[in-house]
Amino acid sequence: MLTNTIKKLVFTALLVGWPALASAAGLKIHTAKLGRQPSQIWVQFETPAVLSDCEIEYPTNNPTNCPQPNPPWDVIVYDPSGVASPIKVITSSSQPIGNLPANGLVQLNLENPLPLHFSRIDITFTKRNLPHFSIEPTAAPTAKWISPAKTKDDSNVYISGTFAPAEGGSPSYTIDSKASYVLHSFSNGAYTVSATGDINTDKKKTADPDSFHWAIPVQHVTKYNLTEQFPTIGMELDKKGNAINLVSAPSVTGAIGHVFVREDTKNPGTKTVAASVGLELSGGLEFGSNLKNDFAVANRTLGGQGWFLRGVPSANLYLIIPKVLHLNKISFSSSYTARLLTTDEVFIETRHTAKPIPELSDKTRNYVQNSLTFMLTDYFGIQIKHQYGSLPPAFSFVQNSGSVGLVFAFKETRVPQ
Amino acid sequence: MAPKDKWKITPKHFIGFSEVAGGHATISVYGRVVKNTELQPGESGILHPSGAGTPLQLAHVVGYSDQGRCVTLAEPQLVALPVPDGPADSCGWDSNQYVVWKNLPKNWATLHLKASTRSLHSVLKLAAPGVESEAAAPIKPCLDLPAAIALVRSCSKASPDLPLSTQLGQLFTSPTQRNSFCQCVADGVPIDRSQIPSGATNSLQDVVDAIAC
Repeated sequence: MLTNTIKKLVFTALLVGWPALASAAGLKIHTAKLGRQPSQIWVQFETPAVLSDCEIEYPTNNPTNCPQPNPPWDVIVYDPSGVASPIKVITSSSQPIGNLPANGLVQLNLENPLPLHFSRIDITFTKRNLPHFSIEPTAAPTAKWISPAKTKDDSNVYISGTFAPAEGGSPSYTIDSKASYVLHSFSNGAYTVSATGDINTDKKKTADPDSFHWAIPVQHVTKYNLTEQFPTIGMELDKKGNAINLVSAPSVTGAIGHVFVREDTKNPGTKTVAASVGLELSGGLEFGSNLKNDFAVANRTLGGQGWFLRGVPSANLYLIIPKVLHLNKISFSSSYTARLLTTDEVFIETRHTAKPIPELSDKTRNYVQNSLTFMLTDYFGIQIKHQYGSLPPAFSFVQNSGSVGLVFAFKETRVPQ
Repeated sequence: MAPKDKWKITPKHFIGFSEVAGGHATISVYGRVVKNTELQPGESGILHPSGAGTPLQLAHVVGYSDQGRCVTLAEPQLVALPVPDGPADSCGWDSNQYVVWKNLPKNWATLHLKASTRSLHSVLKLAAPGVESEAAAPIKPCLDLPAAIALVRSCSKASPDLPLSTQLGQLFTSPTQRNSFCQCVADGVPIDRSQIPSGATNSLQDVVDAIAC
């Protein structure tokens, strides 16, 4: 059984790694575009491009070691009727940006200007595996609407959980999922209005965070690693609707990070990411009104507990190690949120008791969630998760709940304007 | 905190009224001057934007700046412009190659030429009755390839030796960092952040492709 599982894992890892192995087989031109001048073309190799300036430079700057009698390019222009005519390349260099292996950019200057109207321009690098590219007059941009996400916070749709059917009893399950959708964006996308929803629940009576939440946040993203979230409407409730809060949650989040790089032994002249770490610190408020609280004292069942205000500092730590142990990546994230209450709110004590006991208090509510994910592909992975603490509105205490399950996460990369 | 009466307004805090009022009506243009193409304002059928009698010349315009927004033209345009105001000083244009014309009135009527290599017959055919001229396509903000790569590199602050195929998720571990990177790129073009691929497995190259002309 274990042997089969290992074989399957190795097979999956090979599938994931195959494109990287295949791409190392030869050079490939990623794109070519008409330059700023009519007699200029920019060609870009796929990176990392295992190329030296010596191989593409014409006229050569090093005639002794890099003799280059002819430009290493063929450019053929097809007019609208399909008649081909070659145009001579007079200079070829990586000067516009430099660092050829990392950027792959080469500038070609042509003897004659390119015509404004053409049906196709074929560009061939006349060395190695003769990579080529065709410029068409109109190239429709490719649009990927979704892409894999990295963490729960980063995802637009995140589904994680376990399910175990039981004979002669109700099945057990855990759900930790979220969905968000950007409704509108303006000011170059710096401001967005979204619809979001989160579910975090567990079948176990004594380890159920029992938290459901939806909101319509307005977010302001700056280019200085700072994000502001403005207060709008939202709601938090438990599974059975015994506690319902109308809530607004303004916050400010700042982030710092560091990327550790190492020499890429397979592609000389370039580096690769060895690991990256990041820390997000957030400060915010949660305020609103408790609309219903069936856990509270019996003589106050109508109108709930009234207004509440919480201070909500939080911290998130991230660690990503790409391409390790034949896996796509290993990622670790740890988040801590403290809710500092200003009024008494319900707290469900699950420790040392067979039946959870609701209490009213203003003591700080902590919540810690750690997850270690082994991503087999960009979209799917195996996740080990740990959580501790309590979440609004019922604040049902979870003492060190752990789970192992599959994770599926993707992120919407474009939004309607 | 310093007492309020110690602070004094300085000339640097002032802005000219004409500068404020005229900011929306003028534009700065970037490009190169075409050699030996002097035009006399009166004879060419157009007027100098300032009303002066100094000659105009053809310019190879590659971009413009409108209220701080830099736009690179998808295709350079030939237009008659006055004497340039100096070397290009903004929007990333190389000051050794490009010049700037500042505060040109947006509604100034100038001469626009379209240079193309065509057979005599096809030119005459285009002008024949019943053939509609090509409609001007709306200009979608974008950058040329080297400028796009430079902007993405600058916003990512990543090691210049990392290939453009590096995934965003490996460079920006937190969503806040990734969103800020995308906002920096979007502001630099400028386009909406939603047009920037921002998934963890999108690469720097994907971002370059999204903003390059």
